[in-house]
Amino acid sequence: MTRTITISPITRLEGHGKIDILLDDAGNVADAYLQVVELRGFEKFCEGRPVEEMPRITSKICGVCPGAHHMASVKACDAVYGVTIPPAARKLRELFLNAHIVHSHLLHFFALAAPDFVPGAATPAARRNLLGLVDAVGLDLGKRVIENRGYAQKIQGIIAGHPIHPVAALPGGMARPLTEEERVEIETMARSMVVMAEDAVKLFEAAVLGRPEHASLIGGDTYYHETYYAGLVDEHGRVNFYDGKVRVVSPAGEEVALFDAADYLDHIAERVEPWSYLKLPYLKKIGWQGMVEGPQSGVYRVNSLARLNVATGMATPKAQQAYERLYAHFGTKPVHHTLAYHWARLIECLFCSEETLRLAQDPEMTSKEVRVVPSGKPGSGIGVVEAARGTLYHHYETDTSGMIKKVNLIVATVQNNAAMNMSVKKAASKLIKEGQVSDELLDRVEMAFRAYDPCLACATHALPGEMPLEVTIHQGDRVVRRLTRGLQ
Amino acid sequence: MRTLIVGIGSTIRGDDGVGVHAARQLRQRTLPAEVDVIELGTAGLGLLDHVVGYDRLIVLDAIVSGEEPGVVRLLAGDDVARGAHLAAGHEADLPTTLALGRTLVAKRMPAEVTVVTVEVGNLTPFSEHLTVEVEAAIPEMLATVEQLLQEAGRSTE
Repeated sequence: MTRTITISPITRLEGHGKIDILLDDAGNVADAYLQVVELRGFEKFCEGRPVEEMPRITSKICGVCPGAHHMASVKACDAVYGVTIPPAARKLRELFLNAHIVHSHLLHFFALAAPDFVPGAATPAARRNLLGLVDAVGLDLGKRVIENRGYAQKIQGIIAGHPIHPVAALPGGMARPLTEEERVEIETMARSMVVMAEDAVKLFEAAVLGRPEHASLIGGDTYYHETYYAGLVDEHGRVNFYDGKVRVVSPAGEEVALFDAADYLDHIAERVEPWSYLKLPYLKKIGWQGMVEGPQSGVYRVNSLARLNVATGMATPKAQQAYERLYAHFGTKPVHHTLAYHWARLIECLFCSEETLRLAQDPEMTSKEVRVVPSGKPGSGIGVVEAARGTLYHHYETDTSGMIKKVNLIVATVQNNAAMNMSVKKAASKLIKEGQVSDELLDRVEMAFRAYDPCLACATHALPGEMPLEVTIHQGDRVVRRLTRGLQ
Repeated sequence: MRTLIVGIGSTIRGDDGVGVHAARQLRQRTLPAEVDVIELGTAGLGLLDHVVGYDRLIVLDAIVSGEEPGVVRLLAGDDVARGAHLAAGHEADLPTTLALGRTLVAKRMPAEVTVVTVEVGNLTPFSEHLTVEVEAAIPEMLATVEQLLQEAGRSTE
């Protein structure tokens, strides 16, 4: 029989990876819980503010993904005023968001994901980092990663008016057009980003397909869940970060929903569990069966692999080829292998680089018509984009003078919350047998949730040290072991 | 000595933003010509966009280390990883960023790195205001920075 323990609120630390693993009497894993942060108090903070301030406020929620919040927020503002933005404004926003995704995906892959494959999972932790990667692949690649990361950041800065805190997107469009000089500069940088992204995909394919230990790690059953997937698709069903409809597919790959952002409440419900501050979104029409996989469970996943799984393909040629190679490798669609999120992320990085270049070459990009001043009566509005980490919903309700009455955000990491817990539990189950804890536990559990690129940093980092991780193993009322890294 | 001062944090996350508030106050003062002050949300690889070419880096940041709120500390050497935003769950942390920078562009990276921290007790989730204790610590942070700048001035004379 499984004995349960209550985790009191005082132990609910925020801002770092805190994991509780519960063992049954035989010493095997009964349950595992990963604590991630929630944006508590945000609604209250926003109440009574003019809605047009929201794109600047929400971009400061998180130091990692200001660009995605800026875009989802301004789209919600457009909807609040019922305004249709000029084509050039939409293209500017798309250019900005694509550059933002390139920036985020390059960082995640090279700083965090790649070292598990190059130099490799068997490498000691001290060398399994960005420096070990540069050692293994050479200084030149390291320099190019930094350089192209800088380009992706610079493009965002040119369009958004500030490199860190975007300010240019306004209800009804953009604050100013792009000059021809800026367009040319962006085009040059985008060319370099495409080559960088192609090389990153090649690096991953070589590290996975060329090394059996990695292919079996990715293709094995430790990191595998048959779940639903959700993500934005364009009118042809292809991946799109800025706009489209949210498509949901079943574990068998069948479309179960295709909806406009405005209808999200018909499709997504949020469950509250006593052990976490974080809500657990699930598919309303399937229903909540707990943190379990399979077609009967409303648990769904977002982020890179989910976007590829719900799409018919990629809208750019090089990314489409890479997409086809991924599905040919696994031979199934959807792909349920969690570590393939890394591969999918690089395919998206290539797609967004190609999109950045395509948009930079668009003759309409320097059009002076970038804003329609909203004249409608404000009401409520919902904006959705794909953030790097998955679908991001902003929902605002205002009074008749445009002051915020109600705010609801559904961020990507929250939507992957149930799946991350399942992944942590599965990895832990493989590494804890009859009370014996494998030395690889921390690393392997970390790989389980890192594939989702969770925004543990979304709130304040209340603790010092490296990416802090704390795993507590409980049996009955007893703590049998506590493993920590980066905590003092 | 070319010096870059970086204030880190979010100004809508209460005391989390103390580094940015301090940087803004510092910018109001008369600083030596070779000193630049900027703001960042985090101190990951993005720092490399700004720091290359400087001789020295001074970071202003919040920290939670169990001391009384408002306590100001100066971190150097291996301790620079301990500020609230110097660890990164999403990408490279400050020591990795600096080490990578030195590997890639050795001669153009600051040789000296110090972090001025303020202990923040209550990380209010969303507020544009600092708590009284933390706000009161800003003058000491700024005095610490100015002392660092003066020491450098003397050592180069």
